Amino acid sequence: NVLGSQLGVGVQGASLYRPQEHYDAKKPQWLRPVDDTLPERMLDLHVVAKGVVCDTSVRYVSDDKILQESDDDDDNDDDDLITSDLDEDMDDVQNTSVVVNPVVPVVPKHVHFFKKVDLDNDYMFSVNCDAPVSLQDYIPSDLLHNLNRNGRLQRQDAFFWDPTVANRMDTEYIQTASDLRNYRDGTEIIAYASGKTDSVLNIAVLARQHTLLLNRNNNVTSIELHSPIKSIKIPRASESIGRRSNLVGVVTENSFQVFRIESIHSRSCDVIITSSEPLYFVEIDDIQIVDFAFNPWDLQQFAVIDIRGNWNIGMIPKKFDEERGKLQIIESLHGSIFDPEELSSWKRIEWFSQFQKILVFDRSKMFEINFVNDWQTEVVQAKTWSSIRDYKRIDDKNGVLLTSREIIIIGASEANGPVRRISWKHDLDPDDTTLKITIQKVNKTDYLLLVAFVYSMRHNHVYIHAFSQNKKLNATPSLFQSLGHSAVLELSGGTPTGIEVLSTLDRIDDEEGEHANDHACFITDFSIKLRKSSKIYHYTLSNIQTPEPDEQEKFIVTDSTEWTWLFDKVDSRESESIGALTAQIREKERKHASRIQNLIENESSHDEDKYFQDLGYHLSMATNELLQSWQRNRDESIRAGSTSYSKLETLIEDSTSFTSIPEFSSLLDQFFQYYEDQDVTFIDFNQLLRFFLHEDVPNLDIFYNKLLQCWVLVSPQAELYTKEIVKDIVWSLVRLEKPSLFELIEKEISQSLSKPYQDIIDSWDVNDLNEEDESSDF
Amino acid sequence: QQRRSHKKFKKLIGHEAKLLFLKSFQFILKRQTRWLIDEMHFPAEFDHVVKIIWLKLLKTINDQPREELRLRLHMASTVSILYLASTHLSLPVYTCDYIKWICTTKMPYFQASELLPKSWRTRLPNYYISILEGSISPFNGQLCNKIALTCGTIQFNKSFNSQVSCQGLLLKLVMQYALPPEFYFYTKQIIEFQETDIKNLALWERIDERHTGPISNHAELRIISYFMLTIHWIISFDQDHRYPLKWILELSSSLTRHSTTRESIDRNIVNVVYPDKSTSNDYFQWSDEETLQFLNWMEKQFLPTQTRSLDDESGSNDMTIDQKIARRKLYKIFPLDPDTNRDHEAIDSKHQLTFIEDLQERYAKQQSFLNNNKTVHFTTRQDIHLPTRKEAVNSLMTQIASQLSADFAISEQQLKDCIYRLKKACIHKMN
Amino acid sequence: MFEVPITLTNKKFAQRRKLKYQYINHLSRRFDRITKKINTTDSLPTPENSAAENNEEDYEDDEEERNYESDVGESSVRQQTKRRRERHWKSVIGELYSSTETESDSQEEDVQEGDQVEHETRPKEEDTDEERKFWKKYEKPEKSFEVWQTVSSQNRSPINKQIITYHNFKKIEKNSLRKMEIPLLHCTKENKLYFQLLAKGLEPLQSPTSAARNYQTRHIITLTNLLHLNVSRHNWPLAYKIFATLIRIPNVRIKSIWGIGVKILDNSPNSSSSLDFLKWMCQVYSSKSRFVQNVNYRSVVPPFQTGSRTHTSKFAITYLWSSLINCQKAIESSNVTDNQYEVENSRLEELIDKISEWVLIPPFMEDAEVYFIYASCHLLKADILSRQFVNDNRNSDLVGLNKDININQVIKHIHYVKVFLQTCLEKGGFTIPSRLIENQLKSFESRLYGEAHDIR
Ligand SMILES: [Mg+2]
Repeated sequence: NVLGSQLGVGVQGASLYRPQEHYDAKKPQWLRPVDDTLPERMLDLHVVAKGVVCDTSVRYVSDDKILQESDDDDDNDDDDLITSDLDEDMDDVQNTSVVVNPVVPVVPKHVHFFKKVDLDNDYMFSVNCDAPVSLQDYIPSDLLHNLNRNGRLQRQDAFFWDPTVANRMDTEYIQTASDLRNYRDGTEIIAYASGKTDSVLNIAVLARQHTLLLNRNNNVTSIELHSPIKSIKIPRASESIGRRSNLVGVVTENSFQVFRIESIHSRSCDVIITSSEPLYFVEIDDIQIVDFAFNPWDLQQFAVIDIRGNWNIGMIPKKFDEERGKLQIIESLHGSIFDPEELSSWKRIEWFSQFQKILVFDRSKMFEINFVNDWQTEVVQAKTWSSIRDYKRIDDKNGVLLTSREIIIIGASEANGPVRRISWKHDLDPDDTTLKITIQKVNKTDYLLLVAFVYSMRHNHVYIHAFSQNKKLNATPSLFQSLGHSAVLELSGGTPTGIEVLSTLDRIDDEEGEHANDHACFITDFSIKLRKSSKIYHYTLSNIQTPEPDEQEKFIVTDSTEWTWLFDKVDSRESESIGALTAQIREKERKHASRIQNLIENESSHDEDKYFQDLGYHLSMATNELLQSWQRNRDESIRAGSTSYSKLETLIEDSTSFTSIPEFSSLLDQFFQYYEDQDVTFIDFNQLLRFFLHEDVPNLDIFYNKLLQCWVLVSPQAELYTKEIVKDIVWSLVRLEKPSLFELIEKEISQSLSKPYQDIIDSWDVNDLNEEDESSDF
Repeated sequence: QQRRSHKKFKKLIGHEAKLLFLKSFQFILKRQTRWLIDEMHFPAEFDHVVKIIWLKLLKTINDQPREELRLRLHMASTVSILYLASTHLSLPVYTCDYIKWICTTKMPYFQASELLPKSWRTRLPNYYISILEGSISPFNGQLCNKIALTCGTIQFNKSFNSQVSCQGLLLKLVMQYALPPEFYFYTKQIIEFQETDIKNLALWERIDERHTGPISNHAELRIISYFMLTIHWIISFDQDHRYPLKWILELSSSLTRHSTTRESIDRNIVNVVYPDKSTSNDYFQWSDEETLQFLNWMEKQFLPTQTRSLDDESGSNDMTIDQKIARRKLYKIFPLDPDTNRDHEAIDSKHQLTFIEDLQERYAKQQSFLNNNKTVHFTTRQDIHLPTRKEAVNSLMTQIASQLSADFAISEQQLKDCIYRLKKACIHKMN
Repeated sequence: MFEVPITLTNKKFAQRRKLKYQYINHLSRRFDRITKKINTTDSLPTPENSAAENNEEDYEDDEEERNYESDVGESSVRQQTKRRRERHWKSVIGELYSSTETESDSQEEDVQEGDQVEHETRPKEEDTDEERKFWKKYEKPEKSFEVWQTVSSQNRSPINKQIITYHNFKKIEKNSLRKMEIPLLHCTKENKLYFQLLAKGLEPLQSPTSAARNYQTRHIITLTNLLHLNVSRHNWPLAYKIFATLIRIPNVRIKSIWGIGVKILDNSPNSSSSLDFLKWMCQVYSSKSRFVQNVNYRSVVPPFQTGSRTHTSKFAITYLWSSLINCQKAIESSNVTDNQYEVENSRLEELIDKISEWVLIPPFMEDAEVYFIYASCHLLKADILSRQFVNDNRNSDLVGLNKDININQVIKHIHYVKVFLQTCLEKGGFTIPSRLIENQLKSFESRLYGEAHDIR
């Protein structure tokens, strides 16, 4: 099938019947696109370990260490130590002193403020300011304005994202020259952007313990690139060349630059780096480069593509030194896939199955280009039902294409052209433009598992699907099977902000540990950076039945910057005021409490009975007076359409100097009864208490007791507080109203309406209009 | 059936249509009022107060010249009338309660047009019917603004009690976030500090039709903002160490606790209705029981409003007979029959916690973390796995804020603006 | 998070689409002129001559556009008026638009009363026009979401060395942006910002799903996400209940979630069979009408969802495969001697009969995969029958005439396998391991005569 097997939840694809040789042998009878040799619950993954790899808002101890010339001999002496010191220093973990100087932008002394600086606000120009225009630096007023707004979210940020910002974090195994010489497999490193404008490139060696951590010296090499970093990539080399890369490619807002890791000090974890000269966009075509790739078979060759779809092949010099530090664009090897219909800046470039073949993508097309033999083919045209979201290279033969609808494994045919192998319909929101994919290879003894993590900037969920490649089915080595189902992994609580980048490490040394023998068990891991969060987390996932109970999990607070600005931006003066205010409030409250405390202590004395008698007397006096005045103003009220009402509490002065809730309750009951047959209503407050407890509350005492049962657990003064609150609530609810006014007012207004409106209002009390109405109308 | 209906049920136009719309609007308003009295045990006087407010509104419509008559009524107007009436009677119900009642389809709101007598519905222009369908629940402070506008239109403050019963709301808030009782008084103190008297928190009468004015004009929103400020300030300036870090962490994790009281299920339903809230994705963490309760609600409350026209043979002309037969067959393949679901009964028979029992459990969990004995000081050594106090407070505030903004159908930005203003005002007054 | 099985149409997003396609169409028309010019004059444009060209180009361009529009427009205008009349008539007789269809801003506006000044009435009919123009240009595949040309040597072309320069792009962009000025006057502030950022190459974070506020839609979104979530957690009782609830909400498209329904039924022991459901799908949704390239199917996308005269629907294929695999499994698990075996065996016969009828009509008669299933049925049949000869000790009645009949049967089925595989290959677009199957057939034959069997 040209389209390969197209699968989705519950969708059957083409299968092959394989007759049994012997009737009794129970062998799988079908070769299906879904791998039924693996259990259904294979992807029931849960987090077994989670930790913070590093915090990008923290500047770790080490200073800039960028050398113009590499010095290989330097670290040779330490090579022998590498195995031993790992074991010795394991206990020293607590020494990890994360000393922390937040990155503060250094403002040059000669900065002057201008009222207005005219700038072409076309962003294509703004990136090209390589050489300063004048000797004076300026700060655009926009920037000042934004800074003054205390980091409030910009509208643009809330509704849009920039596809030129791809990965600002990558983790990978690399091999330095000395690694190669000493037959070492390589070192796990992380590269990430940091700083207020993300212009600092950080490279550090990782250490693996329970989870992935920064090396124990917290030694991070930081390089200020003076331009916001848009994308960082550590290339993976082809397995066939038998070594890993030692390069880190970086695209900033105005240049493309390659860094080479020359050596890593085994004890201090110092990373010695050399760098190419930045390839400024002004030097090529003035259009921003959005993506790049390194030739997996030739680490000297790279390819870049700009936001309009122009691509170039280039060469990296063998050594970065003063004469030869320049990246060379090969003049003859270039082309363009520009499509005027493609508004998005998103473009991708990646090597395919052969040295001379690249795949070039925009949102609606995938091109296969052979830059040596000078031909190109449009392999995929996604103009209608779907659009391309991401592409990742898996190995020399295969890659995975993520579209808005499917995850598609693309493999090289016998003729080395790209073909669809198998696809999985993922059912994710097809309009989510932020979807990306990362693949983790899991090597088991009899099969290879490709675990696909699909993530989005819109939520904290990772959609996981997996494909297996059976190593035993030797007849068809390129046969991929789907696992037939997917899993959704939720990344910790907190506010869902979305995932900026998810990165995996390509391990070759498949030590699967204790579960290596178990057919269906596997462990996988990834590092992740959430949007709006400065921390990079590492997750280890496993499908082993019981997750390790993790008590700390509960207490890991995800960064929630949303509200910090409101509560944090407190200068000392403000904080003084607030401190004083809270002190004042707590003092008032203390006095209030002690007054009540006194009352409670004297509750049994006769004072309280006397108090209630007085209270009742005053209340009825005031009420009588109020009723009389209402009667006097009756006609006036009707004419104005204003009701007569009053809160009981406002009629008397001292309403709270008592403590007995039952006495209070009975006082009110007697009071209401007394006025029962007069033209005044009190709303039964017992009925209203249900709105607090969400159940029927027969009387005030029960209300009091239920509240007390709760608060006695958290407050030594619960009794006191509960009494006060109950009193306060009751007084706020008790009111009187003159009910006879209602109908009179209704009548008054109704008569002032014209006939059609009167007709409408006349039907207010008619309940079941249905039948009556229909018969009268027709 | 189309030929017949074409003649018989002619759509009304012009003023006639407007009158029928008003009649329909009143019909729904009356249904809502009756529901509140019957089911929510509102006092009988409520009906009269609603009627008078409606009459006053009608009077303003009556007084407009017929040619340029603009009704400006929406389903949210019904809620604003009800809200004004309950405020007048000092009932302890607030916008959050109304939002909850409509979002859980208990009070008629969504698809309310289906309640109308058929003869009205057939003659009412589609535009008006679509208004009475409710379709979108009020958001971004629309309800507050509508209340203020209705208030202004009929000069509510003149003839009614417009004082919001702040105490009731405070108690509700303290209980909802499982705070110790002293927070009730702290908040009250701050309000009295800033507003001089708690009674000064009254409904805002908005006259200007075009501009809503600052969101902090709304009394309820002021109260919840004071509430948030109080929590933040008291916990941040906790001199005698009554509120330790672990308590803050426990409190915020208790807010995301997944319980299945009727209250919390209702809250779950409200949360899924608002897309831009961070709470709107909570259902990814729902327990099976919560999901099941949600589905039960769907089956018993939501689906009936959806399929009303489907069961009604004459009402649905968007389906042919064949399609209807096909539907029936499909429903037979997927019966929505509780008997087929074994787990269903097991969970149903389980005792469901009441609100107050659940609250007690939440308080009980905090108990050990609160520092009621002042001689104990917290350890200065900080556990590396614990976040800092500041982080914990921020996370607590974020959670409370997102829940509040969902409950009151305002945007988080609006809540922020409101808090920001009040904070400035407090600091200003302090100096 | 997941795709929602309803058609989300909302005014805001309709306007956005319109702006986008309007702009795209301008840009590409402009680009075509420039490349044409470059290709004909064969000289790179210098600032001077391109500036000189600018004016006349504009003029021509407008002219051309008018022509173009009247060309393309005529038929669509007719369609529009027809639709408008239809809609008017519908509203007269009182047929309502479903509430999801009018995720109506009109109501939002009503509540906001003047919070935002919005244009109340705008002709809605033209909304799809620019989009239609764009869609017309491209082939809309039925079987896959994208057009795939994986046999690449055929459409190889030399590398396009003509890079787009900064200067050229600016020229195209400037002109097209100018054309957008007027449409932008008529849209909301939010959509204006949307357009400006889109034109800068940014992409939206929101989608109609994430922004939907309609009450019913919100619940459908919630249920859909819960459905996927519980399916991925293998929580079948809940998933079942969600599915059963979801399909009872009006406007929910079963066509886009049938696969999940199948999966749920397969995993719910006390429920109906998934085959019944698939059969229902085939009965209700099998369309034998032609797929019209010109219609803008934004909501119902053919792959996985529908079938046509030329495209076998995925649920039909799934139905056939599931039926066959189920038959085989049932036969294997039952004993040759008992009644159950006969029942299952006759079910396989029924399936063969059914397919034999299906292949007489489109789209099945042209579908290679259906023929492959057909062949597989016979392959299975031949295997089962021929096995009796291997286990001869057990079947004592396999003698004489009976044996001959059986041998003939096996031969017949083997013949059919060959015939249908051949048809399958002729229909094309489907690769099969022919050699492997032929070897299997040979081994079946060898079973008949008691030869040493080797399946390779
Ligand atoms: Mg990586």
